[in-house]
Amino acid sequence: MLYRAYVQPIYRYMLLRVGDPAQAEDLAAEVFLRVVDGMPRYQRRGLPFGAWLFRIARDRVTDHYRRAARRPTSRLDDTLPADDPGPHWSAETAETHEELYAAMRQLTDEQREVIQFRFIEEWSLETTARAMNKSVNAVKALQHRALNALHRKMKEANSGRR
Amino acid sequence: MSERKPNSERLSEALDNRRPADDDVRNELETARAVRRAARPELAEASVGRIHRRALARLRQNRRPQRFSGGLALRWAAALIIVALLIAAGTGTVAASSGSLPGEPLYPVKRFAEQAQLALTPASARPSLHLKFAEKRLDEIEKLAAAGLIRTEALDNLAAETEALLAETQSLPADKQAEIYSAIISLTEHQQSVLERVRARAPAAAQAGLAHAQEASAKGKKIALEAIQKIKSTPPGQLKKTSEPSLAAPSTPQAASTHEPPGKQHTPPGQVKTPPGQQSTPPGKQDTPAGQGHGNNSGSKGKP
Repeated sequence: MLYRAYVQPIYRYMLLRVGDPAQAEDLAAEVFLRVVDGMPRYQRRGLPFGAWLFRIARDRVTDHYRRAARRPTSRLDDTLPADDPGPHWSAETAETHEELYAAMRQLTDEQREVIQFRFIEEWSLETTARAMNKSVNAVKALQHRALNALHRKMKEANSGRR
Repeated sequence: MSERKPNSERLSEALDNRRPADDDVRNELETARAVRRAARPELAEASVGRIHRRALARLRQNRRPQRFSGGLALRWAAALIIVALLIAAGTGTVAASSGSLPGEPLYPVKRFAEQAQLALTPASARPSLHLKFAEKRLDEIEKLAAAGLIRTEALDNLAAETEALLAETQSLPADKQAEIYSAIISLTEHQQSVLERVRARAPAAAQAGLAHAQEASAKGKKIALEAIQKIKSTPPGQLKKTSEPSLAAPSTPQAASTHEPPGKQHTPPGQVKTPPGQQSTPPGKQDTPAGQGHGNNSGSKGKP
């Protein structure tokens, strides 16, 4: 049940971090395997589930970059078949999407997360606060800074193209 | 003089077109709109199913040792909890909960009692118990529909119970499996006829959820049919337990779609969207009274 609620947000979270759809899928899969392994420990802790899940996701990304620094990345054993279409997006929106994601990758981790949760997943302030383990006011302030930072990055990217 | 609203509030209102944007939130608004307009990449359905199967396989793998080490202790704990419940509340509460429906205050008590019953049942008898519970879940959907309600929780429960039934059946000896799979075929046929009947009278907003439940049920039937054929075609000396999880993640209408326009996102009933913080009823997935559709779910509405 929870899997179906979170699989796409976790995948997009990974895609925002690593940029590559195949790696994002592998990392999303790793997150859910960690969730399964860590479920008994989670039940004893009391952190909101979303916060716990995204904490695992952050750790996976950190591990991913650590591994990548040591050796070339390799995919998990359960790889995408060659004819797999990968994530769905239409050609006409891909450019906008990729530009936006590229700009978002230049934000801090927290800024990127708040933008994803609030405006891509369209979660409420309260839900976002739970997922980020922050207060609603902290999320409001972070959202303000994140949107302004993203606005600047997008503006820079636009002026760079001209 | 009225107090000026905080930036985040003015931004939300402007995003939802409830007020014009002030100058000091114009940049934020423009950026937020650009993010909402951009495509929302989604994992392909095949990938969603693949990850789900891996997680299920890991779950089963993790559970196995418990049957030998902690299984007995768990069952004793469950038995003690039941005794404590019975002593504390008399038989009244548990008994009163037996007729409760999803969304009602006593329903969690009913489900807890069922879980405790499962924990006390040997693995060989659990599929029969799941069969009984799956029938109950269907009965609950029928009763709710008769009262003019389609509850996503009830549809999800039905799919989960069928899924658990299929998973438990795989651990039986093959000769016992055939018997249970036959019962699953009858059960899923019954499920589909009931769901079809409910769907015929359901409002448009509940159609996607019901279609999803029918699809999950059809998948269950297909798995059972294939399993029976496999058992029949295997020489008796070679019969053994099946080990691979076979029920993939049910396909969700949302996962199949690529992107919905901002402000028009709508969670079809029947889709599971438990929110961060473990809320049980996600916004956009509220009960659907017969004859009413979902409202347009725009702005910061706590989607999951």
